[in-house]
Amino acid sequence: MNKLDRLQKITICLALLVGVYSFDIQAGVGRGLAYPPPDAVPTADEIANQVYFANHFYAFDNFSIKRRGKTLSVLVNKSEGGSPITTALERHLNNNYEEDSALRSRDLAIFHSGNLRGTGMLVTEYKDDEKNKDYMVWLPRLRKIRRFAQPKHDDAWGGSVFTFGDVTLRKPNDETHELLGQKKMRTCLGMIAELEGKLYRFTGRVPERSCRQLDREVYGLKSTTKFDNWWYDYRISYVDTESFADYRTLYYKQDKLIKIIDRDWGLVNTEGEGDPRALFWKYWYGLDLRTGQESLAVIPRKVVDFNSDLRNSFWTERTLRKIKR
Amino acid sequence: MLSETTRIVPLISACLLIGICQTRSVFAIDPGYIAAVEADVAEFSSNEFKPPENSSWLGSTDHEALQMMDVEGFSDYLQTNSPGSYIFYKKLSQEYKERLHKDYLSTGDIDRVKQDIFKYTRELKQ
Repeated sequence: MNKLDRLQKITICLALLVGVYSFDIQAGVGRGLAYPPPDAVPTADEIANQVYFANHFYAFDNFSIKRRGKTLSVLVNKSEGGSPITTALERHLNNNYEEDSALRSRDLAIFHSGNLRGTGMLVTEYKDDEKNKDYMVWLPRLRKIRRFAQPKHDDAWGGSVFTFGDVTLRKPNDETHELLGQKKMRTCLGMIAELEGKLYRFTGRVPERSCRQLDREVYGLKSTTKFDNWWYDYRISYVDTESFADYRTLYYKQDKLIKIIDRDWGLVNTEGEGDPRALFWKYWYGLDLRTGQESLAVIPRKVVDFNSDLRNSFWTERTLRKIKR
Repeated sequence: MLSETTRIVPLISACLLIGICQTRSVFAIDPGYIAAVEADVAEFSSNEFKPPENSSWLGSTDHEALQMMDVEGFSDYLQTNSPGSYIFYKKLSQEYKERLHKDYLSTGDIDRVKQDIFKYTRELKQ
């Protein structure tokens, strides 16, 4: 009888443990992730989670990169020796879903120039990490919505140096993380030389290289991929020790630097106010050292809006159907 | 006549080729940027930063973005690029100037800095 009791207890404990573990994996990083206490040095995994939080704008109910007059955010791609190719787009992200909802976020992107002009994309992310994202695309020529499978992590995002993994799909669980140390950021962020500080269509003036991060304390985070035969072996990220903004990521294959992504971040609140992770992207610069291709995504401050009054019904197929040709 | 044309065509082709080559070389990727990035990341393993010489990516040049790293450079930038806002900015106390500079460094939003200049000016008048 005693043995049976013990066995029952052990079985229940094991079941609970498995349950907690699987819940932990499925829940992933969500909006409830707390900011680490000021005195504690976070572990590598905790830093990776915080970076994911900042990059998915979980500090906001909703976050929009919208159209304001003629001003839009742009993605510029430039092959080595080639001319820049521009795509203007707007993007609206909604994180404001009930706790009991299966949805974690919905992301609506509308393209305003180039070959994708008039195309809309609604991406639904679920709280269950095992579940793939839903991609619904409005095809203006057909005037119909089509469902697509989730793109691969290494697919190029808008034909750029940035992959879908870099922009949105890669999760902290996809890599193992190691803290390299803490130091000061020594260099300015990259920029396409041809466009630096120049007047440009849709954005007004392209920003100059950002040096505001110089002398900021950053963590060095080495993240090794768990995928087999992957396009990179590991990457090293520079992560701000206060805001968890990842200013720079260096990708290595066989210990050789193959790609650089620099991100200029702006704090939404002034320092000391609100969540330090409430950040927005000002620009992304990417350089692929294997091909010489450069990419630049510029987001002018005036098109950034957050915690607006948009209802959840905005992030539905109905909005996709309303996109003008 | 024929000989003149045969002389001119290669000449134009050569000029065009040189032009293309020159244009391409102007906008090639700056090797100084990659050198600076590699020197920066090496510090994680060596604990020592060895900056590449004459790099424009390290905060040691006259680049406008670097000038704005201190309050004086920031003031100069406002004077040159926003003379209207600068009229009110220069009347503010050093404490306000430092706060504006700090806000600029964290937000990177110069329009917001201009709005804050007027906000602080109003606060001081009241």
